[in-house]
Amino acid sequence: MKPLKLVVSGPVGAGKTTFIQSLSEIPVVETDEFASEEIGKEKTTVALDFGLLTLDGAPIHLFGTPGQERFDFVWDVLVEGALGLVVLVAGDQPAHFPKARYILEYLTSRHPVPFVLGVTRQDLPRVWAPEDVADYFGLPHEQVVGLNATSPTSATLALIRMLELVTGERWQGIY
Amino acid sequence: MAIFGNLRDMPLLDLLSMLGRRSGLLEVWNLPGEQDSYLLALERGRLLWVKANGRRLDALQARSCLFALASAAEGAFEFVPTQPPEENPHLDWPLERLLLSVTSTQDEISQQRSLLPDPATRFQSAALEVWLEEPLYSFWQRARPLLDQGASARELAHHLNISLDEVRYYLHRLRLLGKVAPVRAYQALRKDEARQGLFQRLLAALRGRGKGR
Repeated sequence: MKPLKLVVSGPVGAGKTTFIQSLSEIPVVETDEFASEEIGKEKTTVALDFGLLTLDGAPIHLFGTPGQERFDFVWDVLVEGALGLVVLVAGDQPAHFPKARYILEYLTSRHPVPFVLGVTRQDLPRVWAPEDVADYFGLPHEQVVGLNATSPTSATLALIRMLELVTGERWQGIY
Repeated sequence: MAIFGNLRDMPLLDLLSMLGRRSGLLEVWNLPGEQDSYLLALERGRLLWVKANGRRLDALQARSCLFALASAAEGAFEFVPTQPPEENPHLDWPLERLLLSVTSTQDEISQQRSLLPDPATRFQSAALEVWLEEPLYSFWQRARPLLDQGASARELAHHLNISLDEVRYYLHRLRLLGKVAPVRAYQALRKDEARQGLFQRLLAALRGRGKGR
């Protein structure tokens, strides 16, 4: 079966690599290098992250885009033909919201890809609620989910939400 | 006696301010990377019309031209005092207000650059009715046929013959006012039954995975 592709994008420090690590069945292939400028952390993704998830026998390749703008040429290459897109933004970093909106609008206006916006770091005490972030992005509230990228369950629920939005099958229960 | 020089030494805003209430034709040429020459007709503190290579510009293009000239690092100019001939469209803009408007637009673009959309991001018109001021109104009037179909700043700049930075700025302002919204390409796509089946299978598998954790 031809592998499917899921892309995780967002600004620097949103939790993209962690999100993929939470979902991947294999050790994530990272392309981290020491940051050449001040970005709030020592190392950052410069090409892509790669992980693998198998669902119903179908291999899904998980690709994480680099967060820094100078690597933005990679975005289109990765999103072309993708099954879905998860854009992440750190909920405790409102300064990153404009960049996340820039990325989200660039990709979703050019590529017919289902998407969900994930607001990470929901475990922190001082963090934006998903519905408030949705209002900033001008998105329906159901298209924005709060999550903790370190939690596999939280990451899975974000994917479930994205697929629910495209299938129209909204699940009402609690696992 | 003549008034001539280079925008390198005397930027356009200084020059127009200095010309004040003089009447005449101001020609600007030799702009970096441009073949075009521009002619501005001034009459007692008002801008009557603007031409590019002899072609009259509409209001939106004239404003864009002034914006570009105001930002130009160099360009030869010469002012010839005369009574400018009547031309249509007749802008009749007060220079003082125009200078203020161009300056504030330049400042806002500079300040809000990080908020402006990517040149390739596609936008479409939204139904919301709001009152628009100039120059947003002129831009909206000209851009709307394209925005009804969905268009990027790059496409609009090309079709309307105005600068890309201005278009990005106008789109940003129109988005804040609810007049445009980014295209969501997936929503415009016709539903693919096979794809829907795949999504349903993956969703069921993910829910099972969630239960297993």
